[in-house]
Amino acid sequence: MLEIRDLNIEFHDHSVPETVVYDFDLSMEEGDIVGIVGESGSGKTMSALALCGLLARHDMEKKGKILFEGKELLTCSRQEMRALQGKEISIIFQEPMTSLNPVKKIGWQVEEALRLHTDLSKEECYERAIWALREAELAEPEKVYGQYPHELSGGMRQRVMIAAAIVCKPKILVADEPTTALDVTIQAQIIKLLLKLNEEQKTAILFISHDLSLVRRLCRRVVVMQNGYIVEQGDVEAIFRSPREEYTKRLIASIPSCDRGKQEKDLDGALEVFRAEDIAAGYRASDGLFGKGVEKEVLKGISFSLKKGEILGLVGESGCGKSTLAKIIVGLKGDYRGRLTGAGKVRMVFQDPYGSLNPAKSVGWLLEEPLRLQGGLSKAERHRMVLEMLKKVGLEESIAERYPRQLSGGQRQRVCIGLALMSRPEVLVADEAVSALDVTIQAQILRLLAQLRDEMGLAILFISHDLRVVYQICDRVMIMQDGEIVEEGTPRKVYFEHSHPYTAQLLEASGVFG
Amino acid sequence: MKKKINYNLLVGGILAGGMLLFILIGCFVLPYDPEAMNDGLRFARISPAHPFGCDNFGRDIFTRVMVGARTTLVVALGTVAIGAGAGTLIGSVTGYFGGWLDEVVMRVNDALFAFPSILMALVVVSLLGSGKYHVILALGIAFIPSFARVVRSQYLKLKEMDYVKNARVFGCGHLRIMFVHILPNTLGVMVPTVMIGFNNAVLAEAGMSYLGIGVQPPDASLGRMLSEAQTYLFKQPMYAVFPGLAIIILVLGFSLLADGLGEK
Amino acid sequence: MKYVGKKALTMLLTLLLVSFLVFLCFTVIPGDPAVAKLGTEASPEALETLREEMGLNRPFMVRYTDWLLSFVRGDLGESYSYESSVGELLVDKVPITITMSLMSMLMIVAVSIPLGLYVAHHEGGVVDRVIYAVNQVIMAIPAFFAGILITLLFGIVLKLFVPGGYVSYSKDFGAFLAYMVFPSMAIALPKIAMTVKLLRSGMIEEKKQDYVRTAYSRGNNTKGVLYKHVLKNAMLPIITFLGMTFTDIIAGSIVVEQVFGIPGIGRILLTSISRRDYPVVMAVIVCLAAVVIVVSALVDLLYQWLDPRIRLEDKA
Repeated sequence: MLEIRDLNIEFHDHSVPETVVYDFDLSMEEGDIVGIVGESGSGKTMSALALCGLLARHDMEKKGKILFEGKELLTCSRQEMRALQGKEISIIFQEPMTSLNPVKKIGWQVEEALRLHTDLSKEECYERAIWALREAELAEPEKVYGQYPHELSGGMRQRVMIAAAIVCKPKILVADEPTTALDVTIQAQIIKLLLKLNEEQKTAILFISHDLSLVRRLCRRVVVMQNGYIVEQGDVEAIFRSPREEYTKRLIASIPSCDRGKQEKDLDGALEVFRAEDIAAGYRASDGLFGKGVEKEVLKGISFSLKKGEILGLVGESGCGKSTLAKIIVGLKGDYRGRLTGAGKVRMVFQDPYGSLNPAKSVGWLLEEPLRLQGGLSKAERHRMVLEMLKKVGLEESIAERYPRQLSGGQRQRVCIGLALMSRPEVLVADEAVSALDVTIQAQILRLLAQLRDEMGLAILFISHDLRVVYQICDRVMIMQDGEIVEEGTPRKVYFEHSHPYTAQLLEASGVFG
Repeated sequence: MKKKINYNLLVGGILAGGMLLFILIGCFVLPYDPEAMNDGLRFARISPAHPFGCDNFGRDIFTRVMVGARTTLVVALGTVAIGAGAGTLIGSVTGYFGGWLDEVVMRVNDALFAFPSILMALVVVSLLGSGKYHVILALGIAFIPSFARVVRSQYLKLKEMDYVKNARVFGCGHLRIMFVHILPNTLGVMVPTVMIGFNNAVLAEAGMSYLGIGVQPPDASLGRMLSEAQTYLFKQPMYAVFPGLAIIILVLGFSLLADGLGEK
Repeated sequence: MKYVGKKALTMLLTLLLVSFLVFLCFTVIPGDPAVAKLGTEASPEALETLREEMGLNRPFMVRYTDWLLSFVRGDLGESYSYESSVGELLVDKVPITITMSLMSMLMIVAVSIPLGLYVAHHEGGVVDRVIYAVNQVIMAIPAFFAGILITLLFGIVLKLFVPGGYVSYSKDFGAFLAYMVFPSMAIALPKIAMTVKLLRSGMIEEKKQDYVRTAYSRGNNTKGVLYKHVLKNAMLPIITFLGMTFTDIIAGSIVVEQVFGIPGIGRILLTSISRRDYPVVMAVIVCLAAVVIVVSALVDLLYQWLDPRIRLEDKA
């Protein structure tokens, strides 16, 4: 049905043409599910956009062949391409928040493909839209039909995107990282939905992701890409069991494994450096100009302690209160109840390495700032300490002269860690500190954190939504739901002998055990 | 890598730079006395001796444009200094701290913003009288609300950035955060805003002087020259063209510069 | 509904604040109005009598409340220099300024929106570039100089109207409207340039949004994407901008009236300023500010009504 041969994509906006995809080959039959896996910049999204006819920029050249049911898509007219878009070939994107038009009703957006490609009457369009919304498993399709995107949650919006994509019953559905922005339980539901559509409608799915384990759960075949080249392609299980190429091996190795035989560190004799007792907090939901406001509870009595050299994992989905807890611990939120001991020596590493370094200052200046505030050190001493810290977090000395925008994501996160460690804290709070990074970089940063813990005797509160990462790096795990800790213990105990149903649900959704 | 030429920056730089150079030269050398009247030269046509011709009193228009442009520049710079200075102070404090102070100050700010700036300047001038320094003060005050708004919105956005939170985590004081950590990051927005403010000040000063309530004699002003020129529009249309052109080139230069900076 | 109430309340508060500030400025700064009226040579007794008569000896807040209440009732006070009430003085000037403002607003909307859409659609083309350059120049022209140029071109060269030949609307309404076209044009011209530029950059900014890619993926052509998806999103900030433009139009009318010799609100304001006739100045300023505040509140409401994202907050 679909045959892509020798696809090359070149950009011409610089004087030297830059090729982003080299010799891409792929064939798909009706009802296939194929995954494309790669890190950022691997060309996976570009190939998919080319298939959907969404790379029609003037400064771009596409060579090769894309044959869809015998029709050549690269050379056909825009008009012929448009006749296929949304009817035979549909696409859903990563960001359900921004991929829907904010000022148009859901119904209007779902029906759009019908208006463009069919002669159905208004009533028939409505029927089909409701059918599609129901097919996408939205609970109240009639209600959703009249709503606007901002009235829906992220998961619901992605379902709406799917409904709009399948309303014309396309032959191919391209899904570009459709679950990356969503929580694990929602992610699992969307994956299930895609499988169901594939089975019932016989829609072929081209699934693009950076998450190898996710691809393994959904796809039969996989294409591994790196820097624009196809590294390896074939049966998912075969590649997982015996990867041929070096890069694939590395990619698979950087997926943290949940191995039952994990070594557990003995921390019985270690000194306690931090304690939180009965922390509770809420915020006032304002109710208009004169409304009294309703107190909404976010944290309901959280207690835990950290020992020297311990990494404590805190796992929960968005909105469970884990970020609020982090803010309280580091002193960014003052209105809470409960008691903190040892909170003077806490520093933080944030999720987004792009936003947590001041773009107007050099790395050296930034790293010096905690020392400057501390006072009592000469300029030369401060400079020396900055260089030492750079070495410690695995960066070259010359980085001190550079500005954050000149660094890669991994380098920035190293600088952030160095910045947090400049004032020699005892406790480090890492709030989703590796979530925004590519898997191979993620593995490096995790190694760095573990190494610093050993060298400096740091205690780390590691906040994450990723159960695999937590299992690998943490000595103890807490599972959080709706502002409460529902389960706590060593990773082995929590993952294999859990007692709370929510823990089970999380583990099931994230597919940790296959 | 092929570098794209930023035409806005280039043309804007040439125009604004040329105008500034023209004004600068006028500070040191003037071809004639701007006030010297000469009956024989009334409405003299363009000639090598008088490249822009002469006005109704026989004064050299080239000289007067030079001096008038200088006045305009001084007024505009003074206005922007007052407006941007006070605006930055108000905007940064209210935007950073928020709360009831922000609520009150911004309400007053909105009330003032409701006034067209020229109307506000008229109020000040009608209370204090006209003249160069009163115009600077009047326009300066009138420009505070718009600068305060821009700065405040920048602070509202930037104070939520992780790097600001991080600075707070390692114990940085509020003042240091406001002026060492946040302020440099507002530059990207502030520089074009100041340039546009400068342009508005040039236009407003010209308007006020045209109405006779701005800069007063003996200070030459482009606006007042235009108002005189209008009376003799039938007789000597070129009289109006040159002072007008001086304003346009100055404003055009800075607005292209502002656009060009935004392109990066 | 709650939102409308809240908006109306803030609007009233702003109006009160403005009136208070104006009253404060004009009572405290200029000094004694009795001296202003009688001159510095007047006897202390005569001054004292006049002060008593004018109610200047009462506490400040009482005087403010009094002034405000009579203002609301329609009594705008007595002019110092004209032997008539401020209300009478202004009433026949108001239609002139309103006509001019509405005409310029009409020109702005009618010209800039189609033009802005055209250049956004044909981004990077020859027309786009020419209009960009022309726009930049027009924005650099002060309103009164635009007025002078229009007089020069349409009045002196093309002889389409007689410069300074203003006809009162009570005498010949048609001739009045025909004359008003030119001053309105002078006010509208720079605003048209700004609106076109803003609409163009707004459309181009919106074109980069994710939902536009979605719209293309369903098989829309460029026209469909622009007019069915992008337009409404790009128009929202334009509505706010046009509301703010209204302020500038009013300010512009003060200056442009002078260029075209029109005896409107601007003329009387300027004469009163030079004669230090504070009741008139105060009345004009408070009225103009009131118009601006009311218009901007209405624009705000229009915006709420058009943007579904804000409508929700109203419900919640």
